[in-house]
Amino acid sequence: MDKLRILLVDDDEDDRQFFADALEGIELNTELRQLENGKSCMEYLIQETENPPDLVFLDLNMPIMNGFECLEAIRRTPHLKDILVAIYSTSSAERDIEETFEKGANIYIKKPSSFSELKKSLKQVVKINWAYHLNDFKKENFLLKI
Amino acid sequence: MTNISTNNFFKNIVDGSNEALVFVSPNAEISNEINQYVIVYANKKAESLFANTQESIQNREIKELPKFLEFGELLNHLNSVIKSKKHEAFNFVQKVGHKNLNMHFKIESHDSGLLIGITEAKVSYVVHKESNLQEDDLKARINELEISNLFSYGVLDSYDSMVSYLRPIFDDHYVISDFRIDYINNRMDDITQEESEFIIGKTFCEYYPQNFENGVFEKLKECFYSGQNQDYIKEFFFNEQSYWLSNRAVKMNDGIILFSKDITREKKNEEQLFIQNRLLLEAEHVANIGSFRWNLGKEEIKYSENVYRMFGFEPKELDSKYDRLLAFVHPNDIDKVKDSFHQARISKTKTDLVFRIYTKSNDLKYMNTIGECYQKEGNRYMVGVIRDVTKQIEAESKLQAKNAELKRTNSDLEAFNRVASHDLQEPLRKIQMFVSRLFEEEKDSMSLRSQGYLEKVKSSSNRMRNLINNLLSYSKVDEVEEQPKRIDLNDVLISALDDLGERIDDIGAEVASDALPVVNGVQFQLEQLFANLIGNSLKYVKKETRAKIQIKSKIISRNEIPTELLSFGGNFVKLQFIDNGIGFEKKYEEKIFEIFQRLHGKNEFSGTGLGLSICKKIVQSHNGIIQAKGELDKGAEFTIYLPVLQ
Repeated sequence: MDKLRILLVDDDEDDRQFFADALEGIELNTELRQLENGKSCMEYLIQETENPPDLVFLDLNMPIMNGFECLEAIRRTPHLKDILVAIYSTSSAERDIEETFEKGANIYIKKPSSFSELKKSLKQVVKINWAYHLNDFKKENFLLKI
Repeated sequence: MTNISTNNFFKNIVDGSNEALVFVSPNAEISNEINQYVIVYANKKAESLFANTQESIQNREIKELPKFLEFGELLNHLNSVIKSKKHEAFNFVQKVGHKNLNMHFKIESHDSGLLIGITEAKVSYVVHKESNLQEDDLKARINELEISNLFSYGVLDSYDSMVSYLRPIFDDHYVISDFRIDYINNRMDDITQEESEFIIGKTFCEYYPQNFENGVFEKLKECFYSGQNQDYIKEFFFNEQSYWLSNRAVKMNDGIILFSKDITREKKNEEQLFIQNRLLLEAEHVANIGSFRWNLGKEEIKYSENVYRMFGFEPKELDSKYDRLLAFVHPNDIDKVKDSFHQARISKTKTDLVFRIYTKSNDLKYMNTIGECYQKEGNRYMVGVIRDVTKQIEAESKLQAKNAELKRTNSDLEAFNRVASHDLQEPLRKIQMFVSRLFEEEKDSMSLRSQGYLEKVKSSSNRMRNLINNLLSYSKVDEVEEQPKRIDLNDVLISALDDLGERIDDIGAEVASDALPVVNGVQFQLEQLFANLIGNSLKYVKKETRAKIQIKSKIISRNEIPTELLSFGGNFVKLQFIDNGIGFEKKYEEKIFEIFQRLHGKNEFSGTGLGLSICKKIVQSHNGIIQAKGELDKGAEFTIYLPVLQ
């Protein structure tokens, strides 16, 4: 298999940097693309039909188009409806977690407050992604909270 | 006895009686053995009972009466009374026409003969009640009374009024000083259980001394001197019981005849009715309620006194035309009022509406009226109540304003929560993130001193995170979305101990608990409650002492429940969390639950000063209370009362 293509959608530059550094730090064969809001995410995903990302990380609180709206748009789009989506947010509110799962998210990661924790989470998700693709889980039942 | 038949008065009275009265005189001419009685007199009742023709039964022999079939038996009784001079009474069944009547016979011995009284035994009670001779009739007869006529005494005893004959006693100056009771019939027996014999001969003063203070004596004197009848109604006390007697005194020869009728029951009913009416009026006044009765045919309306007052008038100040009060209704409400009454009239339903009025003094008031139609004796009426609801309406609108304010405050609070949860945590998280990266990536190149500074930044930001989290959970206690459900407190304890497991192991604490009950609650909150309390005990341990935490549980009886919880009903559990830690001074027992209240410096013990405030809020939202008891260096004790499920 080629490199794992990961798309991170987050308006916070620092967080994107942490993410990129942590992903690099875990030394798995990944390729990261970064976008700043839901709208640019959708524009990218719709035109990129040949090599869509394997895994999308979505922040919730973003300008222009937030994570919830973007998630709904992804699930509405036929060729994107099976893409693995991980929510990546500061919110730990039970309500937000449930709502994103209802809207079709597969994974929920609360942004951690230590760098080593972030690396641990990412390692876990990437591994799960492999399992997801290899074992062809029933995708709509694939939920994970980290 | 020959003058009896000529005595009109006596005849009238006796004829009014419901008792058949027959006076017979023995006829012993033929032999010593009396077998003949001649009817000297028979009253009307007796005539109607025995005569089968228009002819009177007077002057006939008893034997001849066709209906006295059992003459032999009656004869025996009559003979026996003649000999013994003692009264006799007996019953026997007498055939009258086709009917069998159960007759009650009374035979009394008198100078020249025997008085036979006959009543129908079954109806005697009714007869007695109804045989109430009208006083007016009596008045006509009274003048003819021959008081010395012994025979009439027996008749008067059949009255249900008291009859007495009083003769004045004169002093040396020929002024009436008292009256002597020359005669009284046996009706006094009903009241005082005294036989007439005990009363007759006494003076008025001896018998009822108060007569000289209550005006009765004066009335009687007036009657005697003027010859005018005197009527009075007075309350008398016999054997400490109140009796109301309606009296008429009539001058008669050299004395006074006094008729007294016991009207106690009527008086009491009257009094009761009066009190009830009074109460109703009072109640209307107090409750600010008025009532009305509207004769729909006559367009006449009768208002209770309070209706007038509610409209600012004196009772009865307005006439009773039905639309009189409509003039006071707020112009915008008039149609509504008319419509509603109209509807109630035609559909015969209830009317219930609120409208505004202006009172006489131009105050705006809100009135609620409920009316209902009914029919009585061909007339249609609407009855109803009017209630002044101004205060309620005002209170309601105040409440609405308060509610709106509360909603605003709540949304402010929510906004604050959002700020606290997201906007405050965001930069903090980044600080922590950068610090953690510095530690991870640059630690080796840092001086020890810089490492120390960085340690401080790390612990400060951790404290800040704890503070924010605690603040959030404090403000969220009341707004949990989770519905309360059956929670086994044993499970709650296990998971709280699980969370604290590391610390318990670290300090080697000993935790012991009774079996705990099941409550209605929110799992995560109760876990937080237990964790906070046990966590506190683990925090404030005494140096060089093995920490011991004991949890006691007891379902308490009704009288052990703190008074502030009694209104909830049901059973309560008393949970006690007791430790052997450093404790606290007694004066902090209340203060300890206040928000941000810390009893110790930050350096001594970590904490945000919110833990026990959260506990208190959680207990309160579970309809319980929490109390603290402490003694410095002796440990702390927290007591929680919670309602339990059966």
